Amino acid sequence: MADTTPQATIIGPDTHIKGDMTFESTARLLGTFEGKITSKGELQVASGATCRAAVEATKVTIDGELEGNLLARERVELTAKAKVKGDMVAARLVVAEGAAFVGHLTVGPEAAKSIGSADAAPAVVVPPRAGEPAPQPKK
Amino acid sequence: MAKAQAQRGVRCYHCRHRFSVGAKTQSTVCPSCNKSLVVEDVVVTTLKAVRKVQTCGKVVVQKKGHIIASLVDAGEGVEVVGVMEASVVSGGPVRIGKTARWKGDCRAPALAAELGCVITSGFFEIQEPAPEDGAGEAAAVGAPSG
Repeated sequence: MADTTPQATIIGPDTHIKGDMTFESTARLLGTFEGKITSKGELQVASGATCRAAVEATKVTIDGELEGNLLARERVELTAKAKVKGDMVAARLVVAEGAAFVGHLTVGPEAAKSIGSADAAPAVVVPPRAGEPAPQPKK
Repeated sequence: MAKAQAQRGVRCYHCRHRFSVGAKTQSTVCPSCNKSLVVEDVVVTTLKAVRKVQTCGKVVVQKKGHIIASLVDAGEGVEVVGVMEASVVSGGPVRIGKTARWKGDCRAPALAAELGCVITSGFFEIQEPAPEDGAGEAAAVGAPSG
């Protein structure tokens, strides 16, 4: 019988990736990622995982740590253990009590429309780490 | 023999002094700064357009309730299923219901947002506050700056 279960990309707990990542369906981050994530599918940041990235995806579930701006076309879910630092734009949001979040928040159907338009473009900027200089805009 | 009254801990929203009041107290005066305090929960069922909503208890915005204010300060938490247009500072958890509409900043130790809520804009700072020390508190209470 054909296997119909959707394939997920798993980034293991002992993995540290720097750079840009693009995927179509689902990715589950168990390790550390730094850079930029773009997807038409779902990103899951598992408990214990660290994601220091600008994220643009359809669905995002966070159970670990995310530092960077987040755009979700459909839905963002923060579990009780989630820690997010950065701006968030999403069509729908669920936050479990206990989640930590610092940043600007925009949620709703209107916010979803702005994703992908020029208005949302500045949102995909990774904030500098403490002690690092802020990135200068290119001329 | 006098009955032992149930007590409740509150925190003054003027000077941040913590003290106890009777469980049924609706308003009181802060023993530290002598300013009057609302202790009871504030329940909003219609439009309430004011400058500040402050209570040591909870602020509850019901389905047809609508707060327009520059500051909402609730000692024990905020529950919104109606409309909130204010900068919110809460000492307890903030619950944004599925029918709620929110516009404004929010500072609270915990947030629960239900699927379907609309948040137009705002800076959210949802984290447990740093442990208090006496010096920091005094500085926050109006010590002269500069």
